[in-house]
Amino acid sequence: MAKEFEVVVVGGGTTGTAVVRDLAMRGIKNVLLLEKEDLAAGTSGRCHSNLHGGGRYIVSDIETAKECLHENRILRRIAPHTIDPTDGLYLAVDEEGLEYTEEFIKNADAIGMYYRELDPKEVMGEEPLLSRNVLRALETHDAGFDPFRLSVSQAIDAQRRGATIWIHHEVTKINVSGGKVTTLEIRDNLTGAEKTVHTRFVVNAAGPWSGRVCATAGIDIPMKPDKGTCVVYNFRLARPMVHILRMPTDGDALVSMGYQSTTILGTTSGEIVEPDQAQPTLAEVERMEACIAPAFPMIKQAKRLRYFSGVRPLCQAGPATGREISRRLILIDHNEVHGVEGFITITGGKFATARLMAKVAVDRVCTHLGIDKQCNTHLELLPGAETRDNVEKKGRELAKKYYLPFYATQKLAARYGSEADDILSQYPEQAYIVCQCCQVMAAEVVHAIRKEGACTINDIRRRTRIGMGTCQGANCLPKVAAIYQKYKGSTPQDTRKEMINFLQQRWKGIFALDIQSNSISHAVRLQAVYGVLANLPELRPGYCGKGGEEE
Amino acid sequence: MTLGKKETDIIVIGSGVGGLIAGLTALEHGHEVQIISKGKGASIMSAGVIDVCGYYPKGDLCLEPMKGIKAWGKDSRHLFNNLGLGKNINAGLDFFKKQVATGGLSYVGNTEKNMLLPTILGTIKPTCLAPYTAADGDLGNIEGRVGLVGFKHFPEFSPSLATASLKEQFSLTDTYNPGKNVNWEPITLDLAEVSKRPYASPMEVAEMFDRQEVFEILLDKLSCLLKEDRWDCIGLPPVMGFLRAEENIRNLKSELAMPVFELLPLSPSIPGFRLLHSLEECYHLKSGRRSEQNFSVISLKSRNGKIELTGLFRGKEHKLVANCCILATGGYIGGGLQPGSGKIMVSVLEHILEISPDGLFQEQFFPADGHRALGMGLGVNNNLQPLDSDGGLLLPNLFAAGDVLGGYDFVRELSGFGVAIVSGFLAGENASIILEQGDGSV
Repeated sequence: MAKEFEVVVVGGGTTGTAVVRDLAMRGIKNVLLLEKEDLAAGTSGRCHSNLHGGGRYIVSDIETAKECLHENRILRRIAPHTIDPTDGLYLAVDEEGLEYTEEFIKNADAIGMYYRELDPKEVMGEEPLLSRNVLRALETHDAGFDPFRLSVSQAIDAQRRGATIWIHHEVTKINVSGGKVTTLEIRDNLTGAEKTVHTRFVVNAAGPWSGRVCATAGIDIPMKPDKGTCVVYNFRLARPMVHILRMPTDGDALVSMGYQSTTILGTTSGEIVEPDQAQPTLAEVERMEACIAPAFPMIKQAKRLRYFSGVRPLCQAGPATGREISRRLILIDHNEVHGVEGFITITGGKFATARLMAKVAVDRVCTHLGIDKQCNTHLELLPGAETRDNVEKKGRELAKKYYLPFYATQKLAARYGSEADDILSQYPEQAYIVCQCCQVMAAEVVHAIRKEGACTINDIRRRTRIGMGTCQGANCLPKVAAIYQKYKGSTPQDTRKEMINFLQQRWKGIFALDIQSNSISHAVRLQAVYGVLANLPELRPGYCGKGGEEE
Repeated sequence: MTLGKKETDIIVIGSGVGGLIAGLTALEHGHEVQIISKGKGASIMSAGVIDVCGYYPKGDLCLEPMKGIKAWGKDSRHLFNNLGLGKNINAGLDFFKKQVATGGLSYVGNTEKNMLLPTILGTIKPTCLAPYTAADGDLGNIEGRVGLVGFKHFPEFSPSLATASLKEQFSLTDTYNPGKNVNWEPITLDLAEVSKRPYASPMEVAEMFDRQEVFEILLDKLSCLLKEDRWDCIGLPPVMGFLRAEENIRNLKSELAMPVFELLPLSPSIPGFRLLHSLEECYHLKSGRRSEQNFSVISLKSRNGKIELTGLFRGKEHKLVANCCILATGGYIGGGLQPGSGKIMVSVLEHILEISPDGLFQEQFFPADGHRALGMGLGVNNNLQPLDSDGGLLLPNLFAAGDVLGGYDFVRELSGFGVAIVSGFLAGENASIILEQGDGSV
């Protein structure tokens, strides 16, 4: 018997998880979220981790700046545990920058965006890697954040309110009958099993794959998936997030990851690609480094750890390039445009405005379903939301109680907020650090499997950050795999295959990185640990072969 | 500690297994040797076993390393040809066994047949020589009821997962099913010293077992266990001490009257540390010196028929002169091969290796034909003298050994320390002969 849902949301990134949360909060609880891979595995997890506060667009696109500013404030209130405890720093390093700064300030005053002018000498003193030619410096409320934790928090909130979440489930067909959406055909990507669900309404929040989802309903929409590449460095280049004061271009901003010792330089734009074929290139990396060099002259010596590409869900008919297409959010009601009732697509937008996009989408759903409920997603805190003041206190308590380093417990308290106590108290035998590079506790790994829906080791990685630091899994993967095997009950062979899946995914972002980086010795280390020390049998082509002389 | 003499017979650059064996070989010939290095290198990461050849070119498991060497050597460019194919292996490995024994460690095994040893993950690894502490784990000899022993609050080793994995391993070959009749069982012991805190690291546990009183408690608990139930063999995680591991295993075997072994490690590797330590101890016993691990070579030149090195040692510039030099600076992890400006440079020599336009690595994590990067390195002649792109000697009186060499792939072949030892041995021999002949010819 096919299951029936009031609404099905397709796409488990920040937008989709925000939609399903909003639906559940407005009383529409019989909702299903379908995500073909994992929460934030698509565009949301490949962003720059840069929560815009408006500063980037204040001169070039003031409407977007206003939206970002508004949403930034909301997110800081409802999801402080997903936001890094650092602010933004905008620097003018040349003449062009000085002129731009004046525009910046004028517009910021006009829309009420926070900024504070700092003394360039003090800034240069605090940040030794910065250029010695900083002319003006502004502090803003841009921040780094963790896109995975935000999406997961939204999803968990929705689940607690009654929503159903199926990850690793992909829509293969949307059936339309008599001008209305009737059923969806779905494939479980882990098992291959096929399912059908009935529904009254479909919200397509599949990001750059939105076109593909529409195609399963026989609808064509003008998606222009725009590639954005980022490169990760092996240490923290600066404490705050650093921007250069000038018109937005490639490689504008350096984001040092919260509670991590890595930094992301991003991003690029202007190349339209198929979302599954976005490949980062060295040319992009070099271009970005040239752009940030005025602020960080030593960037060329910085050790690159990995690189990756994400794809923006831009949508517009017409020949405009990526930067010129507005990133404003776009709602397509397929009833109005294509005569298919009960189907909308919400796309475009910025990460920072996902909640707002969800509101727009859910308002439309409610209108259609005849439900008169206001959006309150800006008012209610996400699960775990905890103010920064409590974080330090809680970190100290946990450090003392469990004999753990204060850095690790403070990070735990910051990222899981009010749930940090539960994680350690529920799994006290796992109160130890399993990933040294990112200071992740084994208890978080168990929590990710048991309470946050992780099905694969990559899913665990997104939720906890294991393997995202210097070692890229060389040290921590076997221990994480042991926990995975125990709590998932998988066979040793399936666990090893999962380890290899994980390694392959890490390898993609390392193998072609220019040898001007540190990545060669990391790459060889991964080969040595898994190919020589562990000698995983599934790696060898002749595995389960004859084992004798081959001629 | 001072740098020692400024002029010497042979300087070895690199204090990993390759460099230490090269230095020890030259010492054996009665020459004065100085071993210098920038840092620790990759040798310490090893599992402490000596791989000679564990897989054939097509990827099948290799049980007879001599046959494996011949198979790889069919490609004339393969380094095994420069090492004399099978000819020098036994001499090199026998020399190695003697050196580590002098340094306090026993190694067993031979080149007729590989051992198949279980790892801490419950996977299986072919290898040629193993330390005494791991040898009883050879699946070719193990039988009966084997207890794999873990410790409470030592999550680095899970006996239940390792035993599940070993039980599940299907036969490795059609006709050879090592470990088929083994009944693997997990055992968890609660040793107060280990479990007093929520988590004990491998280093901490190894330190504990260097203490007599902790070992006695383990022995006691295992003895009680064996009285209650019938066991035929005991396996332990590779943390049974830094310096007393061999003694501990020997005592356990004798007191429990059964085979006892350590599983092979991942990272960090205590057995890897023990191996390097024993070679360093041997070098110290034989020369009165230790390797100088803070010397960073800036340049290497030929001058008046000798080799002159300039380097930084504790912030100051020093010059060292020797009649011969052996370069054992390692591969990508050790730092002997360094990326830069779109090329790979051999450190110290500033010799450039050209990279194929197809790149260094393939997209597949473990491709059947291996990654190009892993096969790259310094080219040498049959005397292990580095060659330039025209095939001429890069420098007179210069030799090379270990992972700095190209023409082999230690991951694909499982041949790492075998190459380090044999090439180190040959380089040491050849450098000694040059000195003895005194005319630069070998």
